[in-house]
Amino acid sequence: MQGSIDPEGVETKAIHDLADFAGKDVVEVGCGDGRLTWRFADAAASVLAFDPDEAAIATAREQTPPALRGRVTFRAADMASIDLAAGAYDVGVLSWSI
Amino acid sequence: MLLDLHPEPRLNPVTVRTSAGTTRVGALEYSASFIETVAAANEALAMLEREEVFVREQQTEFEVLIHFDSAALWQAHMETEAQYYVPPDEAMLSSIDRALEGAPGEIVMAEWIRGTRFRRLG
Repeated sequence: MQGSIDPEGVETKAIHDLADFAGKDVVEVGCGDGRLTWRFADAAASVLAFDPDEAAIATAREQTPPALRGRVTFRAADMASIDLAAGAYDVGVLSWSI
Repeated sequence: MLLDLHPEPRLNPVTVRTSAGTTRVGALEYSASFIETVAAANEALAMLEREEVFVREQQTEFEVLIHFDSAALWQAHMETEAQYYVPPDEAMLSSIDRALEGAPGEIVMAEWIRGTRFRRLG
């Protein structure tokens, strides 16, 4: 992505109108480079974000703000390879990933 | 709770904004394969509802704008995203060049996103 996506904040407002992330454990499917992750991660208790694109995951890790490094984990994986504990997450985010 | 976010395959307006104003230069169409992918995604979610795995609680659609500081950046983006769109035609490319003649500006494209919150049943 080589443009500025949604500087108006429409998407951020929409996802927070749809879901309450405060204090929740979140799993994000198809996180890419973390673009959407940053819209809710600061509210969540924890985030596991995964995507099969290893380059995108590397970018996401590099761009993780220091304040979120203890709470946000990026993993290169897909639905077939990721091991998710049943019931471990309060919110699942399908991020343009279906 | 499950939150699904995905683009909806509507025509996406493209505009050029300069100090002289805003010019609509055309609209982008999604590719047939992407339209099929979105339809399959919506059907998969509908199936989860029919099978009472999840229930749809709230749904909304909203427009997201993507801003590019130059025609070159926008074209690079279109090349990266080529699988999702029908390539912009020469008329649109010419309109962009004309709109940017003599004045710096930005290219803005819109995408419609559907957001749905589902609650797991049982």
